Amino acid sequence: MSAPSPQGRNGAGPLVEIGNLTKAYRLGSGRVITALRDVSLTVQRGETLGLVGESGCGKSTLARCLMRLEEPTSGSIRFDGIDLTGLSRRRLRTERRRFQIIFQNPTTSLNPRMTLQETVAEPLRMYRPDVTDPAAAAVDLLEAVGLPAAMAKRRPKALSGGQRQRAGIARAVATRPDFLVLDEPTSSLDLSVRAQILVLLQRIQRQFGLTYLFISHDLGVIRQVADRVAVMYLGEIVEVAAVAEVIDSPKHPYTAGLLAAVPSVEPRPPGLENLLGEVGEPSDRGCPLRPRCPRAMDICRERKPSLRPLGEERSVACFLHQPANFGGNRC
Amino acid sequence: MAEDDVLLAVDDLSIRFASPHGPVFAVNHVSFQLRRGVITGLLGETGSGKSVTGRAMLGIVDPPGAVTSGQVWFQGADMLRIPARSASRVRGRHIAMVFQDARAALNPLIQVGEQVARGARGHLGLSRRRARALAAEVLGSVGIGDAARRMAMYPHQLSGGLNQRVMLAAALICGPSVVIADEPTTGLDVTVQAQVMKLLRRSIAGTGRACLFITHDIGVAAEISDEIIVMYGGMIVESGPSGAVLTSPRHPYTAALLGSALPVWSKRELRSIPGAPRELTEAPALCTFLGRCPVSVPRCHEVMPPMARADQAHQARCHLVPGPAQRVPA
Amino acid sequence: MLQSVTAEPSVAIPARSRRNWPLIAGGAALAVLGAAALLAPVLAPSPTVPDAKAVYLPPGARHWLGTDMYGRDIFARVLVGGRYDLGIALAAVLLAVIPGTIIGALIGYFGGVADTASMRVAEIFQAFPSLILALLLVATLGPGVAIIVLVVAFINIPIYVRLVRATFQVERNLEYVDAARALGVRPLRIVFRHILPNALAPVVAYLPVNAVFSIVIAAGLGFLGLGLPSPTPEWGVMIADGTKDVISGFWWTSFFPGLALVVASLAFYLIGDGLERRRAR
Repeated sequence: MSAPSPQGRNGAGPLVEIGNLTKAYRLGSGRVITALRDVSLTVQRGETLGLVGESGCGKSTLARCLMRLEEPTSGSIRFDGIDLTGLSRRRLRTERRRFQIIFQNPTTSLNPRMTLQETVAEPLRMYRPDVTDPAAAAVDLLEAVGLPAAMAKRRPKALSGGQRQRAGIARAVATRPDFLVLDEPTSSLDLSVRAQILVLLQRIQRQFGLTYLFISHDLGVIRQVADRVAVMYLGEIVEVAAVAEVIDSPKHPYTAGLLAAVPSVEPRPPGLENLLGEVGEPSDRGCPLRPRCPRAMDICRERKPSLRPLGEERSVACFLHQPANFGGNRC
Repeated sequence: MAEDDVLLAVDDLSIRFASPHGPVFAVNHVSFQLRRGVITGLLGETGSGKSVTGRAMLGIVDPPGAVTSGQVWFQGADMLRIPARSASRVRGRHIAMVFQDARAALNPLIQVGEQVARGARGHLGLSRRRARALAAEVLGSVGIGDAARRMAMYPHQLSGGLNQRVMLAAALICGPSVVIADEPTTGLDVTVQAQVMKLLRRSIAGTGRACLFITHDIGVAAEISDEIIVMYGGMIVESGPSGAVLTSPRHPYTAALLGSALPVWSKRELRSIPGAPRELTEAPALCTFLGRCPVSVPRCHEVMPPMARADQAHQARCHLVPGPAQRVPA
Repeated sequence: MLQSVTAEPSVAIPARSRRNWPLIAGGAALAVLGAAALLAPVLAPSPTVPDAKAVYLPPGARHWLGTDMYGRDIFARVLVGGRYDLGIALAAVLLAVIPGTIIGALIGYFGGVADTASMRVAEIFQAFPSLILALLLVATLGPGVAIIVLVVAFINIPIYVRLVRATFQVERNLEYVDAARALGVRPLRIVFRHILPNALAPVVAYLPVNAVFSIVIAAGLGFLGLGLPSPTPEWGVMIADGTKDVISGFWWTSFFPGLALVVASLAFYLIGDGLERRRAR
């Protein structure tokens, strides 16, 4: 699962390959929380991969590990064939130009004491030697995301949520990255503004040829913007498939449970089973969904299902779709 | 609908806030009724005035806000004009409120069982023991298993969903006839949200209570409401049975909102409403949606549209009503 | 009794006066004292010259604040004393805030061994009551204006280190710092260009308080005889000299330098309060 891709820079092959990524936190009390457990994922060039899950599923931790804001406990992250986990600090800094992140809360992710122009000019100065006047280019970039030039000298406090998020987008694309991690970019925005930002993100993706990892808890957003989607629960990936397939015929009970619960104006298709109880705790043994799963079997308590292909272009981690003696980690 | 089905009636309510930048007209001439056994969804984005309206119904609009006109009729009295002591007797006992952030609304220093039981002691005059017994029962009925053990816990020891159930229990213990829920599921995980919504429906439907469910999430409003009220710019722009309002909206804002929703079950072109909602710094003289409305006519620039009847119980504040339903952008 | 809860909401600015009186008053007082101190050589040419004929004169037309036991003009001495006390206080604050802030920023952000070590050292010094510590240091190092300034500054530094360190420990977990790290901004730049502007508010708020503290330590040293030597018209020294006169009824020799000290402290406090008001608005 973590064999290096044959092609390197700007060749074919997936842009991002996450291999068996694990992140465990040790609390002061000695307790260990496994935020990510053996997560493997690939992101193809040019696609938008959705990452969906509820609180505690590890999606934010994954984003932080990808951005190298945290060190994974084990596993590998390959970006365009280069193993990021092994890079020196200086080398990492040059690579950073190519992958950036847009945070969920634009109010806290912008420096309150820097003007928008300064915020956007900084990455230009750092990574774009071809830009002779970073300050002016920053204003141009802000305009390109829909913020008039008059706002460039203002601080985030004076702006609305949607405007702040646009500034965050400008900052992220200033380095001309190839890959963007979008961590719930519209969750804190009003409904009527949400679509505006999504349209902007789509436009930018086309314009700059970007690859997106779009993290959200909102299946409606994922449905509209993602090509494929990975579903996470308690630190593990439970299902990966094309977005229409996952929603029209979910194979993992957690995915079905999410779809059964998501509130929607349109009527819901029949046959989706609800999950029981509340989000639980990650565990080393057995399937993480077992306490809540309406279809749990005995084996689900004993062994952990691993993510296995199911037909073309789909993977599921569930004993309902695997012979019990095929794969599965005995923990 | 029989008149005595109406448990709470809001009549021409207006609320204004003072701010350093001048007055903010948060609520303007809002009128609606809450009926027995009916969950009325109040749908609006930020700045629509929905939360302030909810609090006004309990009579708890604090400075710098003040009610400038209107009445809130409950059991023959105007909640806005009765003495403070009478109002606090009604609050909690007859009209209960469930807030958005359970962890913030609950007292972190008091066990949850005690917080639920308090209402019963204060409003119903029950003894300590009987109040606790009742609390245990109510906690059980809101789906908190092992209630006796959980009662001794503190809010920080419970999950968000459990805390929300505790808050619901505290609201229901005195048997109120009206429940006002202000974004009670926002911030909860989607699977937990579904459970809480189901619970709320069960607590209202068979019991003859009325409920006002305030939310900004159109999907949640669609799922939970029997009737729906859409607010924009401090005014009610449309109201009616939720099925009718959401499938054939009569107000362009409702249609635009539906058009900008992100459906799960189908893919379609992304649409937004151009511009942004803004706070009203002067009393609205014309339609509040003017300027963002794609179908405005000359009359819209002349006079405020009255609330016009589109159908039996379905009305919208728009000059284009009565007329065909608005087209929801596909 | 029915009470109407419908009311015209007040749309005026809240009742508090629009003008920032504390800041104005404090600023004015400090400006006067400061100007007096600067102009002292012009206004009061000879504060140390004794005049045997004018011993212990009460405040009057010729000597506004009276004279002391050597016939020296109290007014002149108070003015010149301002140069010492205000000067020492302000210099000590400045000499403390810059290194203190820098150290606090670095250890607050990076933590680690340097952080633990610095905190232990700071704790050792802060375990002593400030005046005692000042006494010990001055006694060891000898008197002199420069020594006193350095000693008071030295005592002040840990306060700023702690203050800035605490702020940095909070700020470094905020998302805008993550954003800067994700961009690959170098750590030192994150500390000084990104976080520091957001961390200055508590420092600025504390400066006036620190000024009062410093002036009191400086005057205290003088009072105890460990500061500047006697003919120097430093307020603390003057108060010390004047205490023995009170019994004889000559109150003005200690009163006026004391009053000057109080006015200076009050001015600093008012400025601090005024700054706080501005921030709250």
